[in-house]
Amino acid sequence: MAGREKHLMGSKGTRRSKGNPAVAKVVKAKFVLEGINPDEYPAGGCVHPANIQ
Amino acid sequence: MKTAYSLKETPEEIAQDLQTQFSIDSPKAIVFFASSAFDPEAISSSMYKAFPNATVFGCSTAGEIVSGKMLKKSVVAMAFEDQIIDTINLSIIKDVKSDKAVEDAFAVFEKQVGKSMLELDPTAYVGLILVDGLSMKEEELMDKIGDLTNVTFLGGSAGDDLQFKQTHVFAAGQAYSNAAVLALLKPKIGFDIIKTQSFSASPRELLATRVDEQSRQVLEFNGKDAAAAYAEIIGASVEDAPKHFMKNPVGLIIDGEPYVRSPQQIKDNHMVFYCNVKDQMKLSILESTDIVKDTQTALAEKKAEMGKLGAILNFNCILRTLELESEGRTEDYGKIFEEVPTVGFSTYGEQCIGHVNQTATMLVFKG
Repeated sequence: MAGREKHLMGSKGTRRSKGNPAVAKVVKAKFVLEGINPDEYPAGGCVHPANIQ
Repeated sequence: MKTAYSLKETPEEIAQDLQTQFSIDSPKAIVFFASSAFDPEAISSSMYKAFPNATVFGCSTAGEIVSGKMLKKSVVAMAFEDQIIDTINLSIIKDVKSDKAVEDAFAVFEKQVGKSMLELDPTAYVGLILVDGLSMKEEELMDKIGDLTNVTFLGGSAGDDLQFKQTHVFAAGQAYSNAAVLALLKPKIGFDIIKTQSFSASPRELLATRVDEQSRQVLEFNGKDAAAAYAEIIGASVEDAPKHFMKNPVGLIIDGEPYVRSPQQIKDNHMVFYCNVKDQMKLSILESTDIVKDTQTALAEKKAEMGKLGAILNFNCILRTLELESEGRTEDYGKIFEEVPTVGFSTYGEQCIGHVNQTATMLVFKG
């Protein structure tokens, strides 16, 4: 499970942004405002993958 | 884009006055912001009747902004002409507490536009949100909007001139409370967003360790009573801590940019905020900087990016307005927008990606 949450967050950002960096930035900001900071899950975070829809 | 304002006494006179000033045969849309001094149903109805072929929407305020001025007891309006806007669609959320509020509103857009909201090109479309400023539902709405579309929605929470009794949003001649109006615009000209706040982040941080999101309260920071932890970190007594709220709110720092969470009051050693703070959220103590100077800089930077600025919709936090008033600088702030057709209002909260405080969010059109 190491890094699984971070990977899922990154994958959602990539899927949503379709390579558009502005959208990727917005998706990241949205995560952080919802209390999930991708920068704080380097290896084995504690967010349940089900929370990353 | 044309702007106008009216200081007439009755809704009927105001609508007539604005219609005369605009002198446009058939504007595509009118957005207006009205002091809560005016009867909400009457002002919405009068504006709708004055512009029968336009999409007409707006909200009540805690002060109005128009090119070059900050006003009270007025109505300000912007007219969007056909050459500026390709399409504009409105969707009214009549109950912001409904679980399906945004889904239902977006279903209306999807039917009108003929595409899923998730498929819409965020460089071609932009959304506006005007929401009841006393509903405490802004975060949920913005979270859901962000889940369902890549189109940026920005806007403000309606005000009632600091009475904190009832705020209204207006659409198609009606006035609604506990409601929101969403507008989906497809401009024919370039547009961009400004989000500006006059704070720098200090290295001092608070970690929210116990919260009550529904009531926007932080019960504990750093494992201590929230008020005690905040007072300690700013070097004040709990009793004096509220004196620091305006100049030292807290902020969530994302890519170096603060998303401000403003404390409202201390209640039973807990801290009540104007927007919610999530459990385990790490917040920096912010230090205020110069609102006028920072706003000038934000506009200058956007002008450098976009070329000439054609028009601005400005959703400016009431706490910024109160700070400007206390410093006698409302005229200076108004003058920043003297050269660009601008309307806006003093809000009870600002929206851009999420719900924020002590911020100005602006939709900027290219000139």
